[in-house]
Amino acid sequence: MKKSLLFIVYIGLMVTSTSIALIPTDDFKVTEGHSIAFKSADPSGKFKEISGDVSYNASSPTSSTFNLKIPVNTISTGNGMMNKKAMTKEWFDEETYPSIKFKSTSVTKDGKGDLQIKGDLTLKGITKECTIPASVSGSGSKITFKGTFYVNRIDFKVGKKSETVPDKMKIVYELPVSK
Amino acid sequence: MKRFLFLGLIVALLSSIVGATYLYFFYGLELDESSKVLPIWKVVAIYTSISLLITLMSYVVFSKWGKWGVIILNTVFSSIAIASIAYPITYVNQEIDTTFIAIAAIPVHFMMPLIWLSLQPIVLIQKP
Repeated sequence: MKKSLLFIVYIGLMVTSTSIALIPTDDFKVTEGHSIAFKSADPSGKFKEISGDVSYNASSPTSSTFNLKIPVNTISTGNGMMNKKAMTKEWFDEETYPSIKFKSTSVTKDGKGDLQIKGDLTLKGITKECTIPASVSGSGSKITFKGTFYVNRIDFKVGKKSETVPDKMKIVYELPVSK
Repeated sequence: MKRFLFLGLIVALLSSIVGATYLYFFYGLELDESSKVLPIWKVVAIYTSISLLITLMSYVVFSKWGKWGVIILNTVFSSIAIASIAYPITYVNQEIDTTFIAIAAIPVHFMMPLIWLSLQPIVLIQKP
């Protein structure tokens, strides 16, 4: 009886550990082809670079984590003067705060199957909680996250209230990642 | 059979502890991002799986072909362990920095086989 119980435990442990060993690692890196654009009547533009780590498991997307970084000096508005102005203390203060960071705290799935990534957005040294929606495409070692969300620049003291520049900036992003 | 089953469990436990401790301190040095391609949980799972499987195989081999069967099995297993270091040596990852993956992984390829071989006499050696 004892022997057969030991044998069952042994086989059970062997099957379980083998199954765990065969689970692929979930870590992805941001790859080429990414884009993160901000849109308004004026100004519009994009950040040319974004880097970071993404942990994503298709069978358990809510356990995903996102840790992303955008260098402020990669901003491109299509106007050199405006790019320089964006680096100043009034706007992004690139010298003191060289990067924009986002670190997820939880991920949920909405009714449409898209992810709702809640996390801490740090911009100009100010951290605020925000939720970024993401549709997921691709599979295996190459996944792409896409979505649109809004950021209120006044919350982060990026520029001052203005009639020409809206407070809420529309952010459209595409984030391809691979293992 | 009981002795073999216990040996498998002891080898799995010991090699997991030794392997996990080694990698924990190695990754603590934060030399690169090798921990992402060879996480500790994966090493523990692989060690447990191989330890239990090889011990069960050795029981079957020992029952059918005696000590010479086990010697051949050990030789094959050791040869596979040695040959498998070719994988971390030639491993290339364009996405993340894995400069030290070979240094981290090569000892990992030998820890479990060494523990397995050193504890095997417990079940195979009998009083003359």
